[in-house]
Amino acid sequence: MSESPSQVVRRIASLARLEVREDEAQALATQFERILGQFQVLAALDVSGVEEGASPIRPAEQRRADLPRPSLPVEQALANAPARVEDFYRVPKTVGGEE
Amino acid sequence: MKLVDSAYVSQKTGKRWIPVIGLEVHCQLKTRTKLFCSCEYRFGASPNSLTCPVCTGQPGALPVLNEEALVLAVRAALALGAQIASASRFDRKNYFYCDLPKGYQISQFDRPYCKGGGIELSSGRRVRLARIHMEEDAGKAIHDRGEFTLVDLNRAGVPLIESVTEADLESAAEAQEYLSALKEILQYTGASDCDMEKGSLRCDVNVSVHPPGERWRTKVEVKNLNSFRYVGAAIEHEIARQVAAYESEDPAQYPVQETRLYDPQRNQTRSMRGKESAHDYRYMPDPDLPLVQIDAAFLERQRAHLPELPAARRERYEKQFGLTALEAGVLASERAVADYFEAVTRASGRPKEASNWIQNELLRWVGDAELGVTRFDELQLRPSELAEVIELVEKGTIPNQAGRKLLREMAKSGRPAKLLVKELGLEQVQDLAQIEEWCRTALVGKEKIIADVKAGKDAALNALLGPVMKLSGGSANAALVRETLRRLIAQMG
Amino acid sequence: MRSYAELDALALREETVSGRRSAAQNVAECFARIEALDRELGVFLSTERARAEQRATELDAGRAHGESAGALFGVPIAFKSNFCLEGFESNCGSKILAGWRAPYTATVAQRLVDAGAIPVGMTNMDEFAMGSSSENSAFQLTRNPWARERTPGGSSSGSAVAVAAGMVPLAFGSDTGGSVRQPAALCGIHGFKPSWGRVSRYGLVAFGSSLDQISPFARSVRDLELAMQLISGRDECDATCMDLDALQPIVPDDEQSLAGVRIGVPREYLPASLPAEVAREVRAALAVLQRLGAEIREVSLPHTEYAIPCYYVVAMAEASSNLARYEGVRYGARVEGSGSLQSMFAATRGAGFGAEVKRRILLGTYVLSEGYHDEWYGRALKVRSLIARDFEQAFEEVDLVAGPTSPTPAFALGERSSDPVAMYLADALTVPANLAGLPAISTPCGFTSSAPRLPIGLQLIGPMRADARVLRVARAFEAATEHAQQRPPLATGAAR
Repeated sequence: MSESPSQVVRRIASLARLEVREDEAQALATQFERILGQFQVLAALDVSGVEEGASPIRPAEQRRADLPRPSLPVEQALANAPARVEDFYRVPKTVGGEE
Repeated sequence: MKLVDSAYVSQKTGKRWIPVIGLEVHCQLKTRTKLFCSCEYRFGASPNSLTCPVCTGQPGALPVLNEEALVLAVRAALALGAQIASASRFDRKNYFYCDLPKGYQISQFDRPYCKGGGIELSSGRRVRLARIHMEEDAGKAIHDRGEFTLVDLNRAGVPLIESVTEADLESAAEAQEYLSALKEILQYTGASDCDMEKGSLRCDVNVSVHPPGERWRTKVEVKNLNSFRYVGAAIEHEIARQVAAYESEDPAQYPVQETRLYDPQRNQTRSMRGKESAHDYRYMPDPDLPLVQIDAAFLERQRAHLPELPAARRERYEKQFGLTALEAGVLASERAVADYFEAVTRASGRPKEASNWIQNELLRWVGDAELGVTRFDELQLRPSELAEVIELVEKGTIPNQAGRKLLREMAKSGRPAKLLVKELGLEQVQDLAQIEEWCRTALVGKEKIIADVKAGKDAALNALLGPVMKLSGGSANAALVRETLRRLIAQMG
Repeated sequence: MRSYAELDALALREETVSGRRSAAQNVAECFARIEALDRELGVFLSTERARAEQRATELDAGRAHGESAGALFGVPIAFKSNFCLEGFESNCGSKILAGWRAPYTATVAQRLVDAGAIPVGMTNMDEFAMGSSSENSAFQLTRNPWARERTPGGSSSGSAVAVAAGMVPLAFGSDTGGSVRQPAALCGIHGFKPSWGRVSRYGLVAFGSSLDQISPFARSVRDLELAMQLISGRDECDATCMDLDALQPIVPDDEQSLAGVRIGVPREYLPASLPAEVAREVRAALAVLQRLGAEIREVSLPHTEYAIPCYYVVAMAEASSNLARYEGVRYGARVEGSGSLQSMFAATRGAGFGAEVKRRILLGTYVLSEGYHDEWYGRALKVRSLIARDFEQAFEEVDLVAGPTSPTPAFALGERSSDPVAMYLADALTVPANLAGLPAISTPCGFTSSAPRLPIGLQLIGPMRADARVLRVARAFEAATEHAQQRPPLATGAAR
């Protein structure tokens, strides 16, 4: 890695939306290095010509008919909402657009 | 192929710049339920009333593919001339936003369900499609209601196809033409309503400019285009802006790769401030969904379902029915109208008349509050009924004017033509004696006209038609009226 | 009459259906046992006594009216806290879901309830199923009933102990890298992970989707078989769940005989570094299988040493995606942060997730990130294929693979909790079956000889879809030994 482990952790924490305190960041950086160091053995294997096995088996396809089922009543849908305004979920004001 | 010079000429320097434009279009598929769950979707439903554990990303919920979404997506792709993949895959596009319940969007990344295809513009230029893929829509975040942002997840999970063109377009006009053609084709196949107002069609554009003969320069993305008009305006503005930036010869001002938002109030694009550099979506295959298998039998079934497409119909209407390009264009622009026209033509054997009546009457009824019709296919008038009325008018049983009234009454009341003709007393008067009486009345005091007609100016009769029709309450047979007028005038000394 | 804690689920059901017991009585005895033991053992995160009593009353009343009794009629059961049951608290052992009650019920849970089973509560687990000892639970430790200062294993810690301590005869967990088999081995009970895709995951909170399977714990193999019959099979809510027809058992009709069964023991599973006691008990178990008629052969699974890194890269990558939904918008805890949406996400997740979960999310994000994706995640997926291929090749020679479930018996609480890598190694022998999607069981096969007396588990792994075969062989082994009948020393005051 051309970045230092601490820099990596900070960058990845941002990407993963995980607030990490300074002291945590240090410990995580050390662990990152150690764990990835252990996992480096994977690089030694010859995987040329090997297919990626994203799933242990190829499930036969299953699709759904385009028939409606009752949705959750609004009250039930919002029952666990940490914050709401009328029938909306409420979050801090955003400018707009993702990220 | 028509040669079209789409170059932009700078007012400041007189130099020519070549615009390079690509479009990314999202269309909602016209299914009843969402892509991965059985919630219904209806535009304008009350907030958060159309959700379930799956589309709100509850812990433990899982997606299951809607068969009909695949059917419509494949039909759309076939109509656009794309090649369908026999196996494709859903991937997770990971990012964080308040309208994205799972923290990832299920989309297709490197194994989309089809590739290629395109649309030919009227100039003959072909706009190629780079790809089309399926994905689920996000919910809606509302920023303009108070001090918070509000989230409505009704739309989360709605099926979309995203089609991305190659950068083959060269002007705002071409982009608009492409969008119209795309909309037509998707509506024809029944895949999507493509209604920008209801959000079932959304479009982002990529624009760059370069001097002729030089290499392509930085492209800029523009979002938030809510109508075809805005698409055109945004493109034009952006071309001008980029040219001005380059012509300033100050590299600090040159366009950078970014996403800009179109502001319709000011008709300009502005930078989305505070944006991070390119997103890292960490695409990975979605382990909850099997590969999408499409076999030959499935493809054949969808091909068999494809209707004759607009371009082919326009050509046929001109050649087979002798309609003008304009007439053919209007009739073919919407499948419901085209199908209707063909049905009326089959029933009446009179394509020209069918075309006229549809264009001059029926199409104008769309949006008519009294009839309560917002879409053509909501009209309560069967093709056989219009054919019947056309027949009555052509035979002279009722005058043209009465035909219009009759049709409207039929649409409103649903009652049959024959009954209404009697009830409303619409039958054309062919009684010669009665006509003669009206004509004589109309001829009173019209010495000048009489003299003109006698002198050979037949056209002068036209001035008398109106008054006679008025006397008859519109029910006189026009041909007979003319004949009678001529006869009476000839008899006059 | 045998006591509540002595009966397996099938026997308990028989007694209840016959009228010698009532469902209400079963629930009462279950809770008596929980009350006596749970403070010390830390099994449950929440119990729902009133609900359970009501359900029992309904079942008893229905029976009195002549209603037919389901296959688990009147049997109290427990679920790991990552199962969704409407109205129950399914916090996944995490502060970020503390107090969260699911708005829907997992398909598997519904099938069990429909069969007459009575859920009594949600059990402790390592947070979001990440861990092998219960030490990553945000709420409490679970203790091994055989030795209180030792771990029962994890992540399905509570469900394992619920069964081992006789609180319920049948409990459910999830097995992603060994989270049911390893605790089963450490607690001296049976734990079975089905072929991937056999059991619906709808309503199981996802950790590593291509690895997760709902898995039962029981004190008898016949209970596992019954549970599997009830929970297996197609679910319209899970696109990866299929009706997997069972391969022929390749076991003769004579239940006690294993004649003709070829069992492969991978040399990589009995390395010199394995503690002597574990090797001894496993070899003794193999000898029993041989006496029953099985042929024991050595095989090789050459990529075994890559299984742990491969598993963790894949599992962490999937977890980083599966846990993105916990950001405080629609459910769970929320911490407002410095005022922006994205800072709310970061603050909520920073405060709500424990250290191990954060570690895995970060590592998972890293291996999927631009520049590292192909080198790490892409490569791990290929290694996964190699590991699966190892098994395919072995299964051309043998019908099952056998070895120890866990490299060690129960370790002490606190011994590995500060060293993530040491903790990861606890899964070395169980992760291969998850990577290859194969059915696998841990069944009790012996004990350590020195005090404290700790259980040791034998693992049997079958080819894809050969769930019935694995269970069949385990049942024959169970009938020929008494390890599964041993009970931990528990001072309950109640009858043993």
